[in-house]
Amino acid sequence: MVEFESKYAYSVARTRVLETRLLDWGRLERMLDAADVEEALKVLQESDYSVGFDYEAMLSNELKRVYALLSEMAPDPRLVRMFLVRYDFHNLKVLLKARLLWEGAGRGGVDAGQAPRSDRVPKRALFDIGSVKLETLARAVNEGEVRDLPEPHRAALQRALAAYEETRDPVTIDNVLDREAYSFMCAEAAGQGIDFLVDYLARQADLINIATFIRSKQMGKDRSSFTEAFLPCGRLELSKFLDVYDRPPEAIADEFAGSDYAPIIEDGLKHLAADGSLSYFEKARDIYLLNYLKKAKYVAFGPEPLIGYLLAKENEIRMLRIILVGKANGLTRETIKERLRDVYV
Amino acid sequence: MELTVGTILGFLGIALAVALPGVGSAIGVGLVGTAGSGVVTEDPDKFGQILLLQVIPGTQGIYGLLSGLLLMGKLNVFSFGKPVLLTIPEGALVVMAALPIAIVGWFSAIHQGKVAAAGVGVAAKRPEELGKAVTFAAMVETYAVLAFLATLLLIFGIPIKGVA
Repeated sequence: MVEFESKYAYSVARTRVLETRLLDWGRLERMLDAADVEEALKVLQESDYSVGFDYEAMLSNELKRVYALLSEMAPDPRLVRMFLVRYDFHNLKVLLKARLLWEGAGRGGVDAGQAPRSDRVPKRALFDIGSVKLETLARAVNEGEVRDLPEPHRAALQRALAAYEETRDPVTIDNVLDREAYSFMCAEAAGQGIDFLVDYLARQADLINIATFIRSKQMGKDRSSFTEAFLPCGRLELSKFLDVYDRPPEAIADEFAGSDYAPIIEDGLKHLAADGSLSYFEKARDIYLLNYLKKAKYVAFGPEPLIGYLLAKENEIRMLRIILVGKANGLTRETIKERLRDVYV
Repeated sequence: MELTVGTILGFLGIALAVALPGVGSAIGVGLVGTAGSGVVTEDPDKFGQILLLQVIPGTQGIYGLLSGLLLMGKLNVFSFGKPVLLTIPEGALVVMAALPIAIVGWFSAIHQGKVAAAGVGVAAKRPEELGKAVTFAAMVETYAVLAFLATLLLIFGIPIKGVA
């Protein structure tokens, strides 16, 4: 009678407390006002972050801490694991491309059997987090030792390699693994019966596809390369995009005028015409998705608040990186602020 | 002394009045406690506020016990083995009198537990608004109180002559 509620009562209530510790705009504004990185970091004292000299390490530790915390809290380990798998797929992309690059240059692969050497794969390109150990991924990529690799990873890796054999283009690896990651997430979300997440992923895929469409039009790419990069799970079908592919990019606004995304597309195209950059569209997209995510705050029992918090935390860490990198490179307050998105709280 | 079927029915009524609201309250209080643990893990200072929410679904169990005690008195259960011997219609009336609090107490405690457990989120995020969360949970109480009232009136109205 209360199985569902009991399952989530603990983790949701705990998440409610954690939500209060997310950084609000006031805090971010104070960081923006700071003169340098050190001063900006001072604002983070008395927060979840364990402030140190190396802010990259601080941010990556925080990400790890949040994932560890949520894995411990979540009633179903699959819930958090599926988000971790995204990082595996990202790492697979980096490792695979690094290997092919080194092979192309006539040298061996990335270090086998141990963490990849930093001089071969830039450390920052890899996430030190995931559902599978980095060494396992490296071994699978470099030695074909896939025994320890879970099934979705193995299949994805094989498909990426097969596709690369045909095209010999590293972009293929990105495309295939991005598609695989999306398919995996959608299948997991649907399998676990989380409609909220299925819907979120569909919206995200749609908006990324729209951005890909505009970008590939801008760069004069052909239909097949757009089709290659097209993400599954979205509500807007590939055929609709292909219908308007030969027309100017503005046609996409008419094609999807009836959809939820119409205002984002329209504004995005306006800014694109003004300064030739998609960054405004991408910012509007992220804010739209974050607003969708905010609905999770009002769910009393269910996986939604946990997902909302997890993605909000990822968003927060991304924003902190933007601020801190900006401060380290002496960008002005306005330039940094323009790149920030929104907060969940 | 030969026990009558009526007396057995009477005891059944008492058992229902005490047991079902008790089960409901246990589920309700348990749910709020589970949610409360989540908050206290992160913020132990919220214990007092959450305890306030946790006791709310516990009242149904108390109403059930009170109804049961009244019925026990009526049936002379406290006389150490010499209860009133009821006719079958009398025993049936005892069961009927117990039903309102048994059924409503059971379900309302569970639902009140859900509301109070959701209210734990309010205690976590906006402790100053706790009163509103308590009010939401207390609204469910109305129906438990109404059922308790009905059960009381029914108990007082049972005509018991007993088997001669």
